Amino acid sequence: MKKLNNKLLVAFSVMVFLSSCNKELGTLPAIVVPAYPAGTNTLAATIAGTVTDSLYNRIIIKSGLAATLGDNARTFTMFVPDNNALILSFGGSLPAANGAIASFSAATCAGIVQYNTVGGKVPASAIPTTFPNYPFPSQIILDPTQPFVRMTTFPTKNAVYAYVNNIPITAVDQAASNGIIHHTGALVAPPSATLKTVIAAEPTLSYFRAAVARADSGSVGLSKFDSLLNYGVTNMTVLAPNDAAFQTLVFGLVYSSALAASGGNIPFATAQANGAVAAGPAFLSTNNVTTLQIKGIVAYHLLASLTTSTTTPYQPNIRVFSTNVPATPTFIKTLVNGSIAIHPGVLAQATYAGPFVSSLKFSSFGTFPPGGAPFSYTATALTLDKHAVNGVYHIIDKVLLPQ
Amino acid sequence: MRKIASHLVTLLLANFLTIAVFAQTVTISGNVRNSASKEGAGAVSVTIKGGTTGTFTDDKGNFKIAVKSLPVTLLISSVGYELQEITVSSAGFTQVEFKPSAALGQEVVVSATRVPQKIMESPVSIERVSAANIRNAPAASFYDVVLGLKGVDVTTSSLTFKTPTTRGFNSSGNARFNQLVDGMDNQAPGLNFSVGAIIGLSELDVDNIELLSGASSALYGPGGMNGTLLMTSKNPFKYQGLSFLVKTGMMNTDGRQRPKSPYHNWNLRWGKKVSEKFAFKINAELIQAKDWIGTDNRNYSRLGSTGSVIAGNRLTDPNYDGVNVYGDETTVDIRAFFGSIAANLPGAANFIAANGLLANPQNVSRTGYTEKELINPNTVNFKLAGSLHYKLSENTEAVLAGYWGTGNTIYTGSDRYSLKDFKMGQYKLELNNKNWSLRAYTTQENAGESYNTTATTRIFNESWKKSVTTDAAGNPTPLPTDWYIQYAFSYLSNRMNGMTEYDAHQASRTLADVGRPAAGSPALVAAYNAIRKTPISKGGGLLLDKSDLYSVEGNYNLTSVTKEFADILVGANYKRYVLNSQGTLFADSTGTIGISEYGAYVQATRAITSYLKLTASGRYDKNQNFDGRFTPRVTALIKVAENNNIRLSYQTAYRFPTNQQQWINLQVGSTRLIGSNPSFATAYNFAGNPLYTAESVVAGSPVGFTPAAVKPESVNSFEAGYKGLMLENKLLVDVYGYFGQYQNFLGRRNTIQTTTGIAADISNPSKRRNISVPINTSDKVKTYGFGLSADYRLPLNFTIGANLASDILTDVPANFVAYFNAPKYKTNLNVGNVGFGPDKRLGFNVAYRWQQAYYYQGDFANGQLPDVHTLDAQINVKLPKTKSILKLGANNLLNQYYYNAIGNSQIGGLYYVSFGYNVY
Repeated sequence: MKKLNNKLLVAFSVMVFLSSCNKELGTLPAIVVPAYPAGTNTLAATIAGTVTDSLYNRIIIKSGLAATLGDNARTFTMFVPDNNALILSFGGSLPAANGAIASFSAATCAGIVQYNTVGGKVPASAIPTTFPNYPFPSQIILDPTQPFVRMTTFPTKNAVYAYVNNIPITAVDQAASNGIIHHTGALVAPPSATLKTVIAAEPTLSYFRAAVARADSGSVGLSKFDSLLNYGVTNMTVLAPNDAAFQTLVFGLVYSSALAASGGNIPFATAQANGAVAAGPAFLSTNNVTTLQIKGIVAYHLLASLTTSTTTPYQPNIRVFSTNVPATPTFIKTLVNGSIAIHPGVLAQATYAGPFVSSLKFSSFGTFPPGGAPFSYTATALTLDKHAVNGVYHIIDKVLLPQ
Repeated sequence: MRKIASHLVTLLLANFLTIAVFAQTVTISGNVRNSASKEGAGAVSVTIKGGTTGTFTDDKGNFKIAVKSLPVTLLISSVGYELQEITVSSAGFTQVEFKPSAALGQEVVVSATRVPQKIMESPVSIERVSAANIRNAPAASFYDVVLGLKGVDVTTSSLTFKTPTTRGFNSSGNARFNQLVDGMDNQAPGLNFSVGAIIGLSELDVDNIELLSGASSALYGPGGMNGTLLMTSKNPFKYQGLSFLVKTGMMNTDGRQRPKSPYHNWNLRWGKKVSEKFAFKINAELIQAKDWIGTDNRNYSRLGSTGSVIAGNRLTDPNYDGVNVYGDETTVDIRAFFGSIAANLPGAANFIAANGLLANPQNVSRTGYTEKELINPNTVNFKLAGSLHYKLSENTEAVLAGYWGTGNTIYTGSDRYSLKDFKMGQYKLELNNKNWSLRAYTTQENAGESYNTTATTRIFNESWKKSVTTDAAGNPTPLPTDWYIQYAFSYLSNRMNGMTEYDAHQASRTLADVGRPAAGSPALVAAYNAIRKTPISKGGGLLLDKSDLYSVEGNYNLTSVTKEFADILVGANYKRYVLNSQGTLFADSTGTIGISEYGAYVQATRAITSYLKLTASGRYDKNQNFDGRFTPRVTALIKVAENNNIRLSYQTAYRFPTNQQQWINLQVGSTRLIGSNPSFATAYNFAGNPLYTAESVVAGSPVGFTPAAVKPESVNSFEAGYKGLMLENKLLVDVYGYFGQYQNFLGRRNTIQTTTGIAADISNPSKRRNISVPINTSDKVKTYGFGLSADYRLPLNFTIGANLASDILTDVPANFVAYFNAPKYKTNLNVGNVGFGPDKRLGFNVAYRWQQAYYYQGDFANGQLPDVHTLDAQINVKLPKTKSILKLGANNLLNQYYYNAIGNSQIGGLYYVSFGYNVY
């Protein structure tokens, strides 16, 4: 009996042993939670620790973004003007720069830093060379309900130089634990108003504004140039002829017309032309010109690119800074291509002095007086890279003619 | 033909006319008691030697029997006792000392050939569980005893929902394994799963359970591809008196799934023989507990034709889809939104391109709720049954019986279903004669408030916050308030803010989930309840199934007229299903659907020599929607020595597509399941709007798919076995080996169809839908396996037993999903004693079960199942004076959680103490 009991005890023990090892749910490969970058040389710390970036560091601190830029959980690429660049941008001396920064509000500082910061790592090798250039969303949100709608900045490079907008990058790829720093030769200031607003404030563009108003007559919504110029999330380039350019055009048009009508009466023609010029921009709203003519002229001054849209294939969606224009003559499409797809556009050419553009010219298909060889009529940009939230404009000295 | 009919009428009349000789003259009374324990032995057969008159002892061992004259010799017999002859010379009280037997293999089984025979002489593999086995088993439920039988696999969906099978193809709702309760098919007519443990016999009323392993259609009709489980209740003429059994226990002792919770199980049975002609019984059982739940929150990939468990969790995988987490099955590739943004916003477009947001699928799932957070843990199972028995003659008994049950439980089908207030009743009228039987019964199903947990939770998520708004045609018309719009917008912004992908996903989910009702919150409960109570056909999760089955069957043993040639048994049956789900499960929104089946069989047994007995059976069945099928069976029993037999058999079995496979019309996740009935081809316009294989559409090269007419699935099985008694009948050995070949496997095929009817739209995800159609696979697969068991009666009432079984699937074509679901090896060991200690009043039993790890395949989820070890034990003490027994027991004694299907509940330890009165 004892022997039997011992055997049963052994059997029972074996059962207990065997049944004490059920596995939990089947094992799977370990879950890998992506690790944050390690290290204390964050973007904020790196800038704070760089003597030549002390002015920008002050802007960062004042902006309240130091913690964000010092967070290894967030990765950014920053475009940082060093002290010399800020001095250049703010009065030419250190005291002036200090004074300017001291006068900035926290919101202004935040705007500067946010505009010069983009998400993710963009090393110099990844700065695009494509044309039209490549917008990067900055940290400035334009529409809080759609927080991906942002003010964009435009890092680009050519064979020799790199830029942000039209500002040269002076040093690239300073590594931080949570991102990359590129230094710029001047402050890349964020724009604060739309093209409509800034153009409205230009004293030499009253004819251009009148031309836009005439071109818009009969149009509605975003098909109006005026609405387009005020639409914050577009990305446009406007070649804005100044008043003198329009006056030259008006004078010439009226003169030639009156001369023909009067059978060669030069004094009459001259008087008529002077009168038209004296009428100022209001002349563009008279019956001496047609809406279609003005519409065509305005459209020819808005650069465009071909999109995948089947309804409006050519759209004013490129922001061409002077530094984006090649040194060799290059055709750029315009909104005229929306009506005449095969139109060659304008012929653009930049002349460089070092990293800077010393001369920017645009030639039109049509000439004034008419009859010249295509693209023999060339406007020169008098003022470059006037920047707005939704685009850039260059003030030119001639009205370009699409035909 | 007329002559045969005439014979049958004569036979019937002969049986009824025996009423005329129902008169006796002398009454003998007595008592039978266990010679060792001196307990009264109930349900012992007392018959007159050389005659047909007999009775049974009552629950105290008393009997009365009327005889024509004295002296007379009484035969006293019962399984577990030695046959005893008593000569009674005078009327008066006779005390019989009934000696327990140590011999094994004395049981009589019926199901192997539909006629009673010694289990040792069964021509096919059979296992038997007696009431005594149940009484001594270390199991909280009688149903669990089946799980310890040789070759049995089980799928446990929850505490009360267990599905046994043999020889593979196990699943929660197994349509290849029949379960019969007192001759009635226990399958729910609409939901198509057997409800043996929920609605069937209560524990005190189980007389015996017989398990036929392997193909068994030849006698029991279509469905028994892999086996048939026959549960038989106690006849009140035999089992009399009031009995009750109270079990109180504890679950969740480690607090892993929920705080410690009680387990209650109350059983009551009252059987009364009112007279020699009339008896009745009433049974009730109530189980109340906090159910086991599915806690498999591992990540599951549903991509491709077969899903799998993958790495990742809610934090690391934006498309996380937990196995037992619901609502997170909704998934959308948010690239569509990025693409839309990119098309309208050049600044964002370049960022999106530069960061590869359009390069690869960006699948994101909705946030789900765990099973624990959703399902009411209270499981209640109430069974009520009763029967009236009237002896029309000495040999003919009429039975009017009803079995009704209701319960809450959890079931795993193509999704996890919460069976809430599920009800099913089975009612029968039966005539039983020693030579024939006639039975009419009906099964009345009511799904109550049962609902699809997965679908309900997904719908709840949509009701709280729309995933993506669509127009009436189903085309996306996103709104800023949509969950995915908020998520995608936030994600893109967060990436622009310098966040990592990981952080951006977390932040986006947090934003999109702002205001999401917390688990258990009144907002969740109210909205969830409203949805689960809304029919599926009206956008909710409620099943309205009230399908019914009506059946008539009979059989006749012609042996009395054919014995010189062979023992011949014939039978026939007719079944009528009436499907009624009001459009929530079947395509029956316009009215009920009827399905008729009928069949007939004949069996002939002939002893060729005293050492060789041959049996041939054949059965023909016809379903109104399918061609008729003939299934033969041939067996041979070779007697190599007394109580040592070799058995050989060739069996065939088949099954018609289930009612669901014929008529289902149900949206499950992103896929619509439809039936095989040809009317679906018309309803879904296959001719004008063709189906394409899902994988070809996903691959970008659509290949058309035309569903073929579905045929019944079949199996041919060969088996050899040996059963023998050795060592003075104290060692019972049983061995079998089998080989089977399946063909026309019933399965499903995922297809895609346009929603517009325009062929070109098949490449547009927003203009197409997934449709799963039933198919037969042309591939043949083979199974083989073996089983062996040894049971030994040791001295001093000790018993020890062991069994080992193996099931293997072979010749499986590549990428073929067979749902075989059987471990290669499994074993059971048990040791026990039915009487030791003072006055031999103590007993115990310990059972260990092991099944080898294997890869489980199911409609709900696939995955690797680890080895399962379980240890069950009980110790009991008998209290003869009060005819009661106290038992202390445990299922899964060591509380080692296990699961035997991916997504099913994790089963822990159940510890109980029971008090049973008059349990015999």
